[in-house]
Amino acid sequence: MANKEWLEELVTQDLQRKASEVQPSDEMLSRMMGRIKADGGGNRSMIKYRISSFHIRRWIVVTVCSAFILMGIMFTLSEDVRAATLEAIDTLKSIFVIDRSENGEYAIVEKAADDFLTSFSVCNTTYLSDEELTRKMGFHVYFPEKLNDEFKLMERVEGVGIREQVSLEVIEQMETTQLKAINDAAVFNSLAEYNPFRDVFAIYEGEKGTMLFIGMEKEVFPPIFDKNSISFETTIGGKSALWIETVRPDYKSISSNGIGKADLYTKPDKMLKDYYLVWNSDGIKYELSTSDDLVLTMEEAVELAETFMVAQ
Amino acid sequence: MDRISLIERCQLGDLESFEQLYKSYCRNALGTAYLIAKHKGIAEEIVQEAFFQCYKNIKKLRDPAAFDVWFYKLLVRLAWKMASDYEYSKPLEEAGEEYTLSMKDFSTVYDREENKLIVHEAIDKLSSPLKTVIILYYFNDLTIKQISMVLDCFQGTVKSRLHNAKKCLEKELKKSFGEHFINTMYLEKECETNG
Repeated sequence: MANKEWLEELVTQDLQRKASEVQPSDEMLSRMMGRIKADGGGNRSMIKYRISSFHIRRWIVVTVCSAFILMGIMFTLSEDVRAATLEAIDTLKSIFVIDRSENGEYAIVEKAADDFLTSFSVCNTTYLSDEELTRKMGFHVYFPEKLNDEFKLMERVEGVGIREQVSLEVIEQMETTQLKAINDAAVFNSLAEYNPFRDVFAIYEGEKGTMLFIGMEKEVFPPIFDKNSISFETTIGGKSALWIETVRPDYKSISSNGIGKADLYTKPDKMLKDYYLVWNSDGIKYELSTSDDLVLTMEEAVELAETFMVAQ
Repeated sequence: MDRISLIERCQLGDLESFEQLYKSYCRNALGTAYLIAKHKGIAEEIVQEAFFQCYKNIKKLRDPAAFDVWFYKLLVRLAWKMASDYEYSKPLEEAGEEYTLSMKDFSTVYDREENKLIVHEAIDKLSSPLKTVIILYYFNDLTIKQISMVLDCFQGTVKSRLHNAKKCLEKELKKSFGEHFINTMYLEKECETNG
């Protein structure tokens, strides 16, 4: 009997000691309550948003330089919706992209899906700490908890992209593999022929529910922009930076294979103008962009970027 | 407000009551998630996700008295899932890291840091089903019946997992501390109990 009790005492003590290493914080509570309110829960009126849409917006914003996007996001649609989406993809063969004419006018044009080649990225929320991400990415990753006392860190996201341009059909075949590659080095290495890369970004939330995204990846600077973008030179901490103005179609969001993405097959109702800031430090390209409801001037974006870099 | 009333108010969508409910469960929930996931960051994510889902689905809970079982079922499933995702995404140099147990000469079993580590490593070596039963029974103080409901299995299965877990722990501790030492400790404990 004593043997049994002794072992039980040892186990109980150990579990309690180990569990005491973690303590719930106010931050945890406020993040969780914020999420509930944002999801439309509770009796208080709050700004509504879904985290998935921010992933979408962010990816639409930041991947303009590679013409198109594929977003790895966290939402799930019902099987019916998913089936309908997949059916639509199978039957429709043309897509809608933006085109800028020689006189500078933008228009949404229809194109044969087979003629369209693009690079793409897939991303997902990560639970790794900055230190763990640093080891995984091979470059220093640090996202301060707060930026200018105005934006609070909400989550970190990591992704895997390819620089090689491929057709949409190939993307549909590759996207699940690419999602796996985020967490599996062997799968990542198997993408070698497509020139894969890892990137990481953080989502910051402002007081009014607006979102700010700061991403980093190893990339040659300045990156190549498409013809729908106009760049303006500026500096961040004395280093050259570019403020990019771009126009993109307001694509609807769909999901297939559990991955959210822009619906290129449905004609968007309108075009949207976006701005973002890119700069380089020690071979790492940084990028600052915002959700649609937050419009920053170049000066404001530069100030935020400088604060971020000082914290590094 | 008693716990049942609190849960009923949560079912009506009252955020302040939910905040109270969160505060009364979050410490144990976080401890449980941490014991399963072994990572502070992911444990926090598990708890946040569990409470988020709890808020969204609490209306479906027919009997507020069954909240503990219902909530821990949600928490444990999420913890398994998210912990296994994390294991998958661990940087390679950490994934293969093993702690080497060594024989120690000591006076009291649990007082020294290295011995605490040995005990913890032994618990950690248990398979997920055994470890979960140990956590729910010894850390969360759930009954055999409640655990069987959390894990959707027979009470007999829970009992046998508990028994097997203790056997494994005993074996592991004997391997690390030495059989003679364990037997001595048992005898000393028995004397203390009798005396």
